[in-house]
Amino acid sequence: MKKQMTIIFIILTIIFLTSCGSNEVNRITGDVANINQGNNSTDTGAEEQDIPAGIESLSQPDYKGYTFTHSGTIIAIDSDFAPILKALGEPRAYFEAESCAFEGLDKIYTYFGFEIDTYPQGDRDFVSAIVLKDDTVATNEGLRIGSSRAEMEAAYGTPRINDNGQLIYDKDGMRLCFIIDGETVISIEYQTTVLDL
Amino acid sequence: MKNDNRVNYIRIIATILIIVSTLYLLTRLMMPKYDIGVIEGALVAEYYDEVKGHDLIFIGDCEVYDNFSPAVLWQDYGINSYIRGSAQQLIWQSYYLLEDTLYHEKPPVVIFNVLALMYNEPQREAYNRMSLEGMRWTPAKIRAINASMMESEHFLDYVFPLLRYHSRWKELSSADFTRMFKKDKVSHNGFFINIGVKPAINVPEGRILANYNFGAKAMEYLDKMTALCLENGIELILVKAPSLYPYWYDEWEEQVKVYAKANGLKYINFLELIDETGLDFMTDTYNAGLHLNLTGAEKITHYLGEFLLNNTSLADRRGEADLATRWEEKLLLYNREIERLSAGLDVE
Repeated sequence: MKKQMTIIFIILTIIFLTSCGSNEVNRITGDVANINQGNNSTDTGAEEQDIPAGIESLSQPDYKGYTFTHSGTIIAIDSDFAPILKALGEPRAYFEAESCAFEGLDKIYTYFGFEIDTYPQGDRDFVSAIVLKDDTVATNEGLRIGSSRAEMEAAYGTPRINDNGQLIYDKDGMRLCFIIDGETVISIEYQTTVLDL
Repeated sequence: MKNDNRVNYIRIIATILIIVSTLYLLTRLMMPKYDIGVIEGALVAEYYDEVKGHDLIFIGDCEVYDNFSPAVLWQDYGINSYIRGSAQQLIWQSYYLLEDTLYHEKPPVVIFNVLALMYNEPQREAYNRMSLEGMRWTPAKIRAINASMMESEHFLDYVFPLLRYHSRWKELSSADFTRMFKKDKVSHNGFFINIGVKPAINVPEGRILANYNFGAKAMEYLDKMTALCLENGIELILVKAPSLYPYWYDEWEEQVKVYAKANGLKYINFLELIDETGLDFMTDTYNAGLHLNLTGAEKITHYLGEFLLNNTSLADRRGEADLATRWEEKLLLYNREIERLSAGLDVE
């Protein structure tokens, strides 16, 4: 009987200890730097992701993936939104929607030229999407609504195309999505992949 | 020698029984209970306890279980209905829930809410779980799981949920122990009552899409649903609940209209009936236009009740004594819950 009990114990232990696989979310926990350069330009126009001067003191790994910069504030997908909100100030409009079934709110902050979506986790909100709405703002690589496909490919290379027809650039667990009409960029959206799980 | 063998057999059987019982109890303990917190996960399973013989079954996502009140359909129109909805129920899940329903009853009318057509792929494991775990094991459930699983999911995890939930031991609460075998009902014939008010302000416009066509898989399952209803003599009605968010694109509306016309289906878009239903998005929604609250749900249910009696084979059944008695009890619970919520005990 001892043998059987040992077998039961081993089976139960294995079940309890076997991991389901990593449920770690790809979230940035570092603070977002507000490095006000004294102008509101969002266009850094660099070939590679251009981290403005003054940010060296922050650990580089905090800014994973493609980022968007507005008024000197670097906004990265999956980063804690509280310091970003503090840096950007009150949005022009704010909408919050309960996550379907889950506790907490998905929030949409609308600023001139762009929107930021967040998702809740614990008692904090993290950036789930950045949507560029018009040509007054641009990606850190200089792409804006109205840019050409050639400019997009010069900045980011050849994209993959998802099932919906979006052109996608994946980087560090996030994606930068473009929609092209003819040869013109009509939509630019930074997205988290955390919610894909 | 014989006695030794007997003892060995008994030991083996006892061992197997102990293992199976232990695993069963652990599974009951570890699985999310869904009757507190994220209660939407409890909706699908509650159907099986019902006395069947419904006139109308709703299938779909949160736009059905939040927006239509079976109690009103009975009380004012004599229509005996049930909502088989769940959070972000994908169209293939709706289809298999309809198949599952047909194992139990054959309702004359089925209503499907078309928002789910926007999804052509599974979205999140958590939503899959909430729609699928409550289903009883039938071929329909197996097909539903296979159609729904994301790349990271495994069929065996649905068969043996302990494989998926064993790590919940860290977050077990006393409720997990007290509700292992008996859980409170969270819905009223599948309807989730919410009396909160949160006006719809700053509702975002729809974002640009690369492709406005519904996906092939979504349309395939709509075709299957239409065919299944036709085979079983069920009238399928398509509806779009009046949710302001997620955005319902004109291009989507056109595709549904064309589909409904081509297949001889009735289609009601409640977004186009705001005046007729009397909806006021400053007072009739509990989460800023996503879902209606009780007053909103009752308004559009009145419209639907009139429509069903005037445009389908459904008739007022309030004269049937057994059914009326059953509903009397249900209405008592429904009104008691509204009173409880109104007293501020659980206001959103």
